[in-house]
Amino acid sequence: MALAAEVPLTLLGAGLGAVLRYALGGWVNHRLGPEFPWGTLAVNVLGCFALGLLEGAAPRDAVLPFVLGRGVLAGFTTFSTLMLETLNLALSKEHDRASFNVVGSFSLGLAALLFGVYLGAEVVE
Amino acid sequence: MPTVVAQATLRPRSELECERLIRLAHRRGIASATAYRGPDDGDAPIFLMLLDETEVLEEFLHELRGAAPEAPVSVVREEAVHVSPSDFLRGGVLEPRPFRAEARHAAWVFAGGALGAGARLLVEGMASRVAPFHGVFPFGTMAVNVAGSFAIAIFGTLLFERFVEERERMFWVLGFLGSLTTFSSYVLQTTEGWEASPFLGALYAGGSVVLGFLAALLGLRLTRRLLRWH
Repeated sequence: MALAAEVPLTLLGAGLGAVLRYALGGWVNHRLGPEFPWGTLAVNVLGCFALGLLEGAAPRDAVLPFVLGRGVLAGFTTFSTLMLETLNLALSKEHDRASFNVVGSFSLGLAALLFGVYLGAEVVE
Repeated sequence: MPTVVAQATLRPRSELECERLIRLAHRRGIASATAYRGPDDGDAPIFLMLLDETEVLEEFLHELRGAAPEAPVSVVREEAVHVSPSDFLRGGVLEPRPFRAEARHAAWVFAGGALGAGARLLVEGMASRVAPFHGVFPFGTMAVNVAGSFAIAIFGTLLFERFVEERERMFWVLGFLGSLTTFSSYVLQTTEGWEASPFLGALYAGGSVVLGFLAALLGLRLTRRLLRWH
């Protein structure tokens, strides 16, 4: 269970993660949008990769993984925006893009996470 | 030789489509592409107005009908008495403003993000205390992801209808709901669930997406219906 010291740090970390998502997602969307929500995809895949690194490296310390994983990275990545943007694509009758948004986000996120785990374990060794 | 201008009006089905069509018009050099709020007679109250010389606009309309086949387009032609600024019809295209992260927005996103994470930790903590199998099938995280998808669709619809201020969007949508819901934990939990039982892993991965999508659809439909009663 969460310790007293972890919770405030995790909340601050999540705030920071949200701001990073706002900045990076907004920038990517401006560069590549608005035909497809690339910003959210980029943020989610990057967040999965970073979480994989963290899991793979498996630091002994208990506070840091909690603050980074459940705070910064959980706040950085988002599920609700992914769903809203998928719905928006589906309502625009862009069914291919809507399905890619869900399936592609999941597959790329999973691949990034597994690659991160592998890389993190390699680095620690 | 008087200039004949044509004005085309159409109603996109969603904000995304509206943005896409404006971007397309900009890219093709249409003099003016503007979204505006029209009379509310049903579904989407956003209209798109395009303005240029008749030949230029008509050429673009072919492409436009292909890009948005279901949005009915009405065209009127007028003789322009005076064009201001004088180069307006010649490449006077408004470019979309570049994205710039603003400090005052970031502050609201930060506050909302911290609060959203607090709510997520609270729900996950309670769920794992009630049911020890939360480690294998994290229904607490699933619940916040689905609830967040429902709420974001409500905000998205209100935003489309211009009921939500920019500051509220930063705090609630980008901050609170963005941080309440999580994609990285969702993917990690799927791999953990899969290791315990592939069935549970697949159920968690698929269930989150299906319920999240349905929740967003419900939020959108419900909000549209409630707004129509006003």
